[in-house]
Amino acid sequence: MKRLPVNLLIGAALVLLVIGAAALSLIWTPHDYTEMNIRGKFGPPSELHWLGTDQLGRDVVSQLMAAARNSMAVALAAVLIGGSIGTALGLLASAIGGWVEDLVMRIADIGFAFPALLFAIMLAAVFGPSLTNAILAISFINIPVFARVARASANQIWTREYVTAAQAAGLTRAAISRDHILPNIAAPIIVQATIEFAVAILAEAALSYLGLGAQPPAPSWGRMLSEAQTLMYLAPQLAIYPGLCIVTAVLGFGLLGDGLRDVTDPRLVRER
Amino acid sequence: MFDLTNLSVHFGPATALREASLTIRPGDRLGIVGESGSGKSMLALCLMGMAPEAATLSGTLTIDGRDMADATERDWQALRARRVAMIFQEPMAALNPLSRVGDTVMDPLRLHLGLSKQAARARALDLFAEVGIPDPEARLRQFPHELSGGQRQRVLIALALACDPDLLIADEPTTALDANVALRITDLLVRLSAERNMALLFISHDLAAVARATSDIAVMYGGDIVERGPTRAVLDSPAHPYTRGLLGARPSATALPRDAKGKRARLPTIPGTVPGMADLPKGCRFAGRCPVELPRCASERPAVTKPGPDRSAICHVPSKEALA
Ligand SMILES: Nc1ncnc2c1ncn2[C@@H]1O[C@H](COP(=O)(O)OP(=O)(O)O)[C@@H](O)[C@H]1O
Ligand code: SF4
Ligand SMILES: [Mg+2]
Repeated sequence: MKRLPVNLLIGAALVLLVIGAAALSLIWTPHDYTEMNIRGKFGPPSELHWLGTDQLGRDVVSQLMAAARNSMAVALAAVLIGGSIGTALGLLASAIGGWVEDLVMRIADIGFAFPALLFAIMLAAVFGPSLTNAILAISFINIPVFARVARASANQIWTREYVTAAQAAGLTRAAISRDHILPNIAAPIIVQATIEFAVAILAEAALSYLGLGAQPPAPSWGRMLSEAQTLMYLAPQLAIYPGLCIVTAVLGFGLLGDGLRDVTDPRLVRER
Repeated sequence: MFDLTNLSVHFGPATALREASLTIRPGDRLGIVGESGSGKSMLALCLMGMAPEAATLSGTLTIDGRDMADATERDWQALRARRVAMIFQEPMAALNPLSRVGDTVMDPLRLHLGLSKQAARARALDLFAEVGIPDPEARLRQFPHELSGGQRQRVLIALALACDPDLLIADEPTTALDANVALRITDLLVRLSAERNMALLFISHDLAAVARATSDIAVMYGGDIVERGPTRAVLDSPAHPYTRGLLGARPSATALPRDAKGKRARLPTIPGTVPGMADLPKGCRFAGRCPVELPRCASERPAVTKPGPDRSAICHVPSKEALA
């Protein structure tokens, strides 16, 4: 049995921790994360409140767990939306080739250079800040990323003999893209999705921190961070906890993505 | 019926195929032999409408009387599988590693014949049985890596037969297989061709296999069809110096030496190597390597000569007799 890379194992452990907390929050949190208790504000860690309470006396652990759920949902939606559109575009570009491919990839280059934050601010300016707009903005930046990966991988698969054989059997380019190309580029797409999951978590935190994402009372690590910022001297732990959560989640998905790449693309490992 | 007239394929200034003319009628079994790079696969791909995008084609190809010059990709897609199908050299590489072989075979059945999933499955089972795959029920669900090389080639033959093509092109179908398996695949192709009155274009390095499988033969060198005729006649009394070179180092027409792995030897070596496509002589392509070359050979294209009934060769010095 081949030994799994360390980054994969650490990444998987961190990801399991975060996803586990998020999943658990769906059925159970120690307290209702919205429940305020002004007299119990800035409470120290106790048997009742494991990480204490915030400036409104809300249970910190419960908030972090609910925020994990929010973060995972936003990242999942954004990666799914951006990933499917981008992958479809990449497959299309690769299947058609010629000027269509050039055009799609030039547009992807422009999209790639476009800062997500700017796009989110534009969306917020036009439609008002909301979690949906944050998801749309993060999805949007994912499209060119996946288009590139899908197109580069698909171009390789198109040269395989089984694709020639499928063409010889009269299959259309669309059918070949669906039945033969897509399954064979799944590995690099999944690796990219894992890495983009990390990027999306960070982006959601940043947008919510700026007030462009989750709106109160929706829980979010980014918003917890911005609320805690004004209380840095009074209660620094309120900023540290969500910060640690963001680092854990981003690092976890990043390492997992790296590790998956090492496992699925042995060529890259050997080159190191 | 497939009819090629003066079909040429150019890659910029280089010529991969020069004025090839061939007619393939129902039930014909035509062999194509020649060293690597002589244009055998290019000829096959032209018949499939699958020449590389970089290639420029000239000359005419008609299929059942229809001129394919203005055929679109969509037209070709409709012809492939139903009129002309192809199997390849590497049966492993020619099967999608992530697809069950049954699904691969059912694809064209559903696409071209519009069969339901059950009907396509039933037909795939029949095809597997026809090409001699044991326990077809179980095989349908297997992945390529679970099958042996010979079984994989049989799956690809089943795939090629799926829509009852008029012509089956086999591009070096046995090169990657063990000797015994190669023999059985060759015989299978011959049997299928006879049973279905399906034309077979059998491309091979292996003269023994071609002798066994075909009734007619075309010898290719440097993009030219240098000799044509009935297989027996050509192999028994080759008219073109290149054909003689191919046969020269061989003990007999039916027994080629095998290497340590039991694979059939490639074509016996002719002194020198095939020049690059762009460096081929303008006249006879074989000039420079030919043992009986004349001064005009390199610059002057030889005319077609008729060394025997139904035979042709392009050479300034055709037939053995001319040498004597
Ligand atoms: N896509 C391509 N671009 C340029 N040259 C090509 C291409 N494909 C094939 N050729 C050339 O065409 C010639 C004939 O090749 P091929 O038909 O594959 O030979 P064979 O099958 O007899 O070994 C070769 O010289 C090869 O280099
Ligand atoms: S034409 Fe000349 S060079 Fe070519 S095969 Fe004949 S004798 Fe040899
Ligand atoms: Mg070839």
